[in-house]
Amino acid sequence: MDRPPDGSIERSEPIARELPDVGVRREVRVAGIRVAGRRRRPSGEKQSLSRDLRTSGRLWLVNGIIMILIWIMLFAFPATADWWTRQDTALLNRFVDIRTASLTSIADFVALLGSEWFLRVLRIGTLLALIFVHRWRHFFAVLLAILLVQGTVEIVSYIVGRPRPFVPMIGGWEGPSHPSGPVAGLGVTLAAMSYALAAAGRTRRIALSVSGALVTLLVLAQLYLGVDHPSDAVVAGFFSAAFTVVLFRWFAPESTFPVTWKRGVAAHLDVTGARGKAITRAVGDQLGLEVLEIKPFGLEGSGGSTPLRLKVAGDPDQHVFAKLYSSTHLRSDRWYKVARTILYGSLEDEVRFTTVRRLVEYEDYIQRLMSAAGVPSAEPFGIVELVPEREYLMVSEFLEGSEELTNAEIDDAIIDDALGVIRSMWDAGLAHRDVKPANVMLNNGRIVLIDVAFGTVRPTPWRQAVDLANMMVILALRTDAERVYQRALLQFAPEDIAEAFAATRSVTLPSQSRSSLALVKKEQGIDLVEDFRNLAPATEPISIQRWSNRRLRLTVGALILAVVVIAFVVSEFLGTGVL
Amino acid sequence: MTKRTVLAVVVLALAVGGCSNLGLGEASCLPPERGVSSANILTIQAVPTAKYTPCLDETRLGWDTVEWFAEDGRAGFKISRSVSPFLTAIVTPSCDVSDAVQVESAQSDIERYEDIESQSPEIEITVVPSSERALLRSRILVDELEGSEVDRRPVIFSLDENIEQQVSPRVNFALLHDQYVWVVGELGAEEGTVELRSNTPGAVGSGLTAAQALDVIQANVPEVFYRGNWYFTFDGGCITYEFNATGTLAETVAADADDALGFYPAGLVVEEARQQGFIIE
Repeated sequence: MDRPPDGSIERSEPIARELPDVGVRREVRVAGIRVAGRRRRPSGEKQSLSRDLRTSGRLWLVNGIIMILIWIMLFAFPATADWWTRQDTALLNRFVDIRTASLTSIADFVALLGSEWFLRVLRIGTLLALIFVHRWRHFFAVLLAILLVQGTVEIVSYIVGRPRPFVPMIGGWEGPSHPSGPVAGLGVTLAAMSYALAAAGRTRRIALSVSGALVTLLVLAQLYLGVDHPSDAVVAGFFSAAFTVVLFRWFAPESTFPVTWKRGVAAHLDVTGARGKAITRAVGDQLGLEVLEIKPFGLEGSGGSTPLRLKVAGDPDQHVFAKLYSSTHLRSDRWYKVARTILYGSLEDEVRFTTVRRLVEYEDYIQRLMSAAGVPSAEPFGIVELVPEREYLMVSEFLEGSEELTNAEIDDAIIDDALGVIRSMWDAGLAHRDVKPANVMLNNGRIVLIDVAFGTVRPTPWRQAVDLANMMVILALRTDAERVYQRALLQFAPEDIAEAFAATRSVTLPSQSRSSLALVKKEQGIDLVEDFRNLAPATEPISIQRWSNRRLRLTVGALILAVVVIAFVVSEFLGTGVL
Repeated sequence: MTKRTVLAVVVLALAVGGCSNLGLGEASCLPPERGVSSANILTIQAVPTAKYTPCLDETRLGWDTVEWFAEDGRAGFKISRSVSPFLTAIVTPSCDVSDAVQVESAQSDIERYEDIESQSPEIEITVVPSSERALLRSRILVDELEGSEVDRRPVIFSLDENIEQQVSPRVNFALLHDQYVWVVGELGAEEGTVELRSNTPGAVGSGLTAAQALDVIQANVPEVFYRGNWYFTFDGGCITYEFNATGTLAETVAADADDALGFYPAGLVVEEARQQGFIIE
């Protein structure tokens, strides 16, 4: 790498140029990428990726509302209730007329579908399966559906207080008659299982059909045994299914929470199907880039977004990098920060973002600020909106041919370049806050810092010191502490380095660096952090904030939650729970 | 007013207006012409053979909630204080009274049995002197301590003056009746001390003054409780009162249950239900 004679670091030029003006429909080529022009979404036009209930969801919603109106009509007005009871009884008497010993045995067996223990096995099995694959959204959707349907049925049954049918009852029953508890229990359980366990499409259609058949069988058995009125069973079946479908469509929509059986980072979204089409359309409309291919890229190194590599039309075709952010990522970010606060205390500026828009606006701002400050990072191309406030794509330059610093051969020039990046951030009053091997890339012999989402403006001196220590650790992983320390003295005072390692704790080191350090210690018996401390002037360790009111509140809250969860689990195993 | 508001108001009006006709009602002991509740009907459906069903005339002080229940084969209600049920009344087609003792019943067509364990609030102490001198000392002691209370519970002293008999059988007799025993010997009479014996492991000691002996009793006094069942058997069924009361509730629960709970003639409910339009074959 060439370096000016004065030893200063020359920042690399951005690879891409500014994209052309918005709103002009034309085709131009910039840095080999074909830009086809952009289109503004007119007022009233649907967003690129809409989350709606779809036709079937709407039908189920209408179905549920009709059920509620029927409840009111049935039991608010005695004349209507009497009429229904007479119709119900007439139908039940027909079932009584066809009773035989063998049919009764079959009905008794089928009625087990609505039994407490059968439902408990299905429910606990479903929840355990969802825990195993870390699909927490579906886990809570199932739990919510069961609790709400069971709760509603329980409350309504006591409000209505309908007696059991006045025909000879030959089956088991419990509580008032309307709506039917066993039918609602089976309905919500099977519908929730279909939506949480079966992949959308043919598998789910089959699951729903089988569920419908089983619920129908249970309804027939309940009527044959004379324990439910027909209106009790039918209303319970439709209500439980309608409620579950609407809840899943709203709380865990397929586009955001697809059913997959792979264990992995929950934050990664499916970019095929409707979302893939929406990305292609939105990137075309909003950035004027013609997307030819969408591929997940580097998922293992990212937990806070879904990183993608987009192939866009050009001469030749080019790649751009994109990070997909949704409310799922926002929640992941919040929980990550809550967990960090409980474990380590409140670190500075680790406040949560309130919306996805704020998250991407902040990352875009930091990216541009870093760029303006001469910190080499991927050139931002812009933000693409998929769903207003909830889902955005950040598109930037793809660092073709770059490699992680820890995989590259490192010479003094590269060490100086890397430390120069930290110096630039110090001088500009910035901190990256996530300096780890995966975020420090070598591109055409120059250091490029990526993933600046955690960056901050005017950080505390402690945070800046931690950035320096983390960079020096990365460099020493491929060289040695002595060499890195000597090169660092060209740009930092010995006291700066001493401060950096006085601030270093296990919590301040990214997990990737921690594991690499542990490996070096195990294989070579070298403690790099301790080596740096020995090289730098002696200084007192710098403590970070360990306790705060927020941490105390969160810890108490987490403990209470843990107690509630344990009580819930124990009650379920003792058979006294709600499932 | 928007369409949504209008719809919400209409639905709410329908619900509120109509709900006056809804609900389980209570398993009350009011005459059937005052209204047959769904709870009454469901109770009969649970045990169609029973001639009577349990009913509740009125609640008493400290009876926080009454939770009604019914399923095929059993129905009734649980009465709770601070979410802990202390009295449950259940009607079933039959019940096992083999461990219970028959007692007098207020109704000729109902037989009553009881199987109860209880601890009364009174603390009974029998003073057992071993000699003439000890008897004199014991009389003074009992006179001095008359009207004492331990933990707000009355202490009742009785003096065993039968000093001709040996001490051991007299002590055993008192222990058999779950009483505390203060043995006053020659030395005790001289020093003003007693030997405390009881069936409670911690409540024993010797060379104790009267005040010390009462303190030991206070530290080990068993809780007042009333546990077990009352059974009422009749044609086609049985009503069981299950008691599990402690503390002050245990002192009154038996009398309150006798007063507040009753037996509802199932036939009257069926007749009234038919008149109210329920289709009962």
